[in-house]
Amino acid sequence: MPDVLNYFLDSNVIIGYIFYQADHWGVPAKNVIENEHKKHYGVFVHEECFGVQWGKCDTIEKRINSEFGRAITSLKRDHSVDMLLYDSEKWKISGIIQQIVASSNNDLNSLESRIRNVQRVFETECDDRREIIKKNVMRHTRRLPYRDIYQILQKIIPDPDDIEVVLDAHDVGHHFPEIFLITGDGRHIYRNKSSILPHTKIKDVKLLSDYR
Amino acid sequence: MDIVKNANFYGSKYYKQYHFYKLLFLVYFELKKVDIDIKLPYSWYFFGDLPDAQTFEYMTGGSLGYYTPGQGMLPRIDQLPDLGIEEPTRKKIDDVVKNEYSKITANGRFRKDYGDILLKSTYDEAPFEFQRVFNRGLLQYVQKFKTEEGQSTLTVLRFDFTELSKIGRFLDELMVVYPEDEMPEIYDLFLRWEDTVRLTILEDHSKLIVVIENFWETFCGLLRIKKNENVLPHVVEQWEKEYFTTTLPDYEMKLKKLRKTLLHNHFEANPVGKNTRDTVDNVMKLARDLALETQEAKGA
Repeated sequence: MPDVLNYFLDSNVIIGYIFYQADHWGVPAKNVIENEHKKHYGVFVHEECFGVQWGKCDTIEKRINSEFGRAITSLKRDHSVDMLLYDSEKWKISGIIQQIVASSNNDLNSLESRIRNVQRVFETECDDRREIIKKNVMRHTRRLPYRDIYQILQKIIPDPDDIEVVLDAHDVGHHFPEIFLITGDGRHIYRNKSSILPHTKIKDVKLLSDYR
Repeated sequence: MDIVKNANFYGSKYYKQYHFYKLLFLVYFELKKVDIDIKLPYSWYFFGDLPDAQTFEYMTGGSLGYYTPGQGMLPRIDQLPDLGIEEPTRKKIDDVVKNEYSKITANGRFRKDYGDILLKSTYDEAPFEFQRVFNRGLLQYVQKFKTEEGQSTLTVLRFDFTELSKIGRFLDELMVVYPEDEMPEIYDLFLRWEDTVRLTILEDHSKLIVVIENFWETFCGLLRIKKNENVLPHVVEQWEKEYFTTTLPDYEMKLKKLRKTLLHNHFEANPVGKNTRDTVDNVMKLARDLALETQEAKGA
């Protein structure tokens, strides 16, 4: 085995890193992205994570930040913890708001300060990790459609998006031999790896959990 | 012309383009109340109303700049041309113009604070309370901390506790009155900006004024697209194109950069405590679950 390996990352690895938590998903994602090996991802994964309209990391981060801002607005408007809890019922962060309220002794200033602080830490850490991804992971643009391989993969992999990810990894394999595709999802690509490998330049498909 | 004629009577030396624009709007607004629509093409912008010169020229064949050259003297208009306006209408117009002048003059002279009176009267008609709180409240308050040269980034500038509390109260009010239904495009940006002002209060007072002014400009860029009357459609389209392709992305990038610096400075001085750490971990887990959930839903 060469000293430096080439990893092609599925979007769930990037997601696990951006929204890092020290658990079964976050720890291996961090190990993969911050290790010494070469990391790659394709345009498809990039769009899935950071695309302007539908990128999951960006849209979810924006949504959560927006809800924290709305929580502060609710406090400014109604000066009431009960109204904040009522307003937050329709938000994704309602459980988080309940947790913050529970530790703030109904003191509005302390509550506001804690909400702001949690939002700021969340934003800062996501931004910092986005920068590390920019630095550590090479973005690769595939120029070829690989129609023949696509047709074979179509019979094996039901999700067309997964086929695009495999083809991106295969294309990187032309430039960087022995490419390993790493995914957090044990179904789809991983389950069908024995059928995928013979038709592509991918050396192996590995599960994220292998990098704990 | 009626407005300029009256202004000359009081002395053109003190009567600037800015005052003409405010008065033009107020006259337009008052005339509407007596069923006279002069179809003034204007939008809401940085300092209240702003007549649109391009549409004005298209509508009248004359240049708006003729009446109020940027830095120069006003033209002298002693005799109004006969535009074929019927006498009762002519009288209504005269009355409205004279009435508006009476509010800013005393004993045949402009009152000392007539610029402020005009601006306040204009803002009384503003479509959003947010404009009044921002322009006549927060912006006006922080302007007084600028140097005479208009410099707003003095590194030595420090606000005291009372001043910061006052700025904080303006921010509180702005959060309550932001017109979310009519200006949803930049609501999240506004929330981010508001928190950034709070961060400058904590970390770097020298940035405070410029952060406030820059958001006002960005807000007004969208405001003029949403709140205008009688302006040619292609002019509004041009504003819109410029705003969404240049003005807004540029501002977002600038704010993001500044915010990042402020946040890093803030957390260097204030390490994250255990309570906050635990909560942030839960937020991260929530965000990840949401992201992976949408991925699964898409694959299902």
